[in-house]
Amino acid sequence: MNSQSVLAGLFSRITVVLLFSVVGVLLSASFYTYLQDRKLQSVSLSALRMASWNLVRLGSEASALDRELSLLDRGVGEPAQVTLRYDVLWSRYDYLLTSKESAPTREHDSNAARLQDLFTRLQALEDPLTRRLAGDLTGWSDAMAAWHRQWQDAMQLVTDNFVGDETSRLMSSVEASRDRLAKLRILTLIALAVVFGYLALGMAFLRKQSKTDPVTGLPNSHYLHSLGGVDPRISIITCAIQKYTLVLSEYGQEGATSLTRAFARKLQRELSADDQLIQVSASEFVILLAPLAPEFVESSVYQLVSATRFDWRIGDSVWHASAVFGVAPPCTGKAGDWQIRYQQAHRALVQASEENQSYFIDGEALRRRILEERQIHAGLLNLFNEEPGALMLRLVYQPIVSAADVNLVTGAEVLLRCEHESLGFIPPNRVVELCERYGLGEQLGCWLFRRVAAETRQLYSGLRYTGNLSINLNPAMLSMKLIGNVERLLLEPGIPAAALCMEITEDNAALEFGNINDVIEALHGLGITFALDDFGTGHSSLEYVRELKVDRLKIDRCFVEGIELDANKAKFLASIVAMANQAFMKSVIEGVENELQWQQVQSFGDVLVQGYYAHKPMSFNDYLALLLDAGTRWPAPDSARGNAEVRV
Amino acid sequence: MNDRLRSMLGLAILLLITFGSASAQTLEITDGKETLVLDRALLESFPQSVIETTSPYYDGTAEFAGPTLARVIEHFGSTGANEVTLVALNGYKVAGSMKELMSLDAIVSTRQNGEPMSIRQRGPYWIMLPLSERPELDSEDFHRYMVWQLNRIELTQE
Repeated sequence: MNSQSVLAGLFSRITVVLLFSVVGVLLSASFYTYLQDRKLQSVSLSALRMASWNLVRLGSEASALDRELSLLDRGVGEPAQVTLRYDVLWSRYDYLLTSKESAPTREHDSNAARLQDLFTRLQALEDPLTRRLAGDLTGWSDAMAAWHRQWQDAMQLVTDNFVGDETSRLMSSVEASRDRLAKLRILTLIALAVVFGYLALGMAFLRKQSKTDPVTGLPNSHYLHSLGGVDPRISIITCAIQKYTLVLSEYGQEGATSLTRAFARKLQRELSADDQLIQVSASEFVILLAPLAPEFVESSVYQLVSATRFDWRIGDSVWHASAVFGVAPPCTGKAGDWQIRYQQAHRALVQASEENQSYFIDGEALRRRILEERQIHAGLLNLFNEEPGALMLRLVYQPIVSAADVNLVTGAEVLLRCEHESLGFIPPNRVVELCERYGLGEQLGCWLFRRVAAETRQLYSGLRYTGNLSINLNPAMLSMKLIGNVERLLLEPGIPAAALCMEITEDNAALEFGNINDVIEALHGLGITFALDDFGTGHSSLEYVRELKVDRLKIDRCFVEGIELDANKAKFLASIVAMANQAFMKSVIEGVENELQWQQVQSFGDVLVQGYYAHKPMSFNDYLALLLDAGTRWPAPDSARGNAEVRV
Repeated sequence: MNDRLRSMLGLAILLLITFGSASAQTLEITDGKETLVLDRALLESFPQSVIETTSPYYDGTAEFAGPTLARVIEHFGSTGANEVTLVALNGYKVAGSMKELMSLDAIVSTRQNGEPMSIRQRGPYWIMLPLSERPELDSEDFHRYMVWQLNRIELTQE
């Protein structure tokens, strides 16, 4: 954390502004030297050569005229030569003052003005010279004096400006430029080094940043993907906060973020220094659990599960936070790809979440189960789409008899039998549960209704059978749509409403408690009865059972076990029956398996019995055969609901 | 031409250069042994070329007319010389290979914009190159051949 604050300081606005200013100053300095050197460049060596050359010519041409004038002065001069030299000098001034080529000469210092002055003075010499050549000596000595001054000035111009001067100036300029460049180069190097270092730091920071979650500061998914490998002795645990999206919608981003933080803290507290906590998303974490004996993995996971079950307070409200875990335990065999182990851990998590478990540990059994479920799922889809498939569902019927008379069959409970081509028999509960999970619950229920109606219709239309058909309702069926489904799939095909008994469990009913009584009420109106299945094994309170408007209580087999051996158990069962009677509910005692139990149950009076002692579940044909057996009786057509009244 | 005659002629020309006012108005061609003096009338009797060009020496465009340098040298006759030195009234000298000088389309201009040039106007003869027509010649390397106040052409063999 401290190193991070140092980094943050390094990338503060002040540092950035400072660095940019330094670079800016260097840039300006570079630009300044560029301008200076451009000036220097304009004094090119060729221009310099030309300028020097022109002035040297001026010097020599002025000297030539001077020589001729001196000869003339002494009376030995040749007039034509004087004129020639005068004209040549004249043309030199003209050239120096007007031509493009001589511009560098002109533009230096005050040369233009000095040249112009000298030219004017030369032109002033023309008149006295013409007169002198014509033999008129008036004013000639003054003119000569003027010429001498002029000549000296011309020579001065040559000496002053160019012979050596410009060169030395150029050299000193070049030297200054070189010094400037050298200094600038050092500064540039330093600045480059600093900027490079800064950029390197920035890159490192960004890389680090990109591998860290901004909320918790934990390594994130980028980090996870950058892992080259994970020691096979390390357990990979994935973990997801449950109902995170709900938190997000309820408490907003800020609330969700604070939950994530709280959650990460809880996890961190449980982990040792050797473990690694990685945050994959706002609600998902990966824990790389340091090597651990395989038998301790589960307890560690359990610790994590309980540590992350907490009441999270936000504002005035409390959220019960919990998480689902998926675990890839230490790998004992050859070290496989850790990504595959990660995926397996994640698969275990998803499975746990689907099955409402708090964790699953990946293993052969789990993987097999997942594979099986996939096969069953495929089979179910085939089945419901009426395509040929590997899964076969069929119905069996377990007769329910009167305790008073084992031969009086008051009805039967319809049970599901599932068989898969390669998996063999599958417990029906598992299929029901899978259907619920895959959202196929209603389809399963409707399939069941259709199948029941198809098989048993004849019983009611042909045999005028009046016994009950108890059908288990899976949770998905428990909605107002049930009424329509019952009418369409059971009543319309010809099953009398009075024969139908819908079985619900406490827990299933609890899921739909808000309108379960409305559903019961509506079906009661049609003449259909309800039974509470597996009574006594659910998680709800008795008070809640009291509110359910069911007609029958199916007392779970666990209350029957041992009644023949333990008087207390028998009394307890008797009291449940008595309670049901008091509440005007008929009792159906399940799991009566032997003679002694049967005798005990008989003593409770008017109850119904379902169990191996009377009958095992059987196919429809066997059930039909049983009903048609001479020894079997069933309730009379006009009897009250399910009450045994013997048909003669 | 016998030696005596040649030396006599040489002396005459030397005198002309030294003393004659005409000396500034004539053009000498020499190969070291023989010297030929050409005047304006002769130069203008040769086929005339016209160059209209800009130059670093004056503003704008000017028209120059005169015989080609090649024609002038040809007039001197074949000497096998491969080096040419151009000499001006002010003593300026520039030397170049015959081959290069012949490739420049140079003329010995006698007139600028139709008028003879005075010495002040850098006459009487000015080597002119067609700078506008051949921009590749517009550089210092060739400007140096544009001798004004041309007075003498020396032909030598290297």
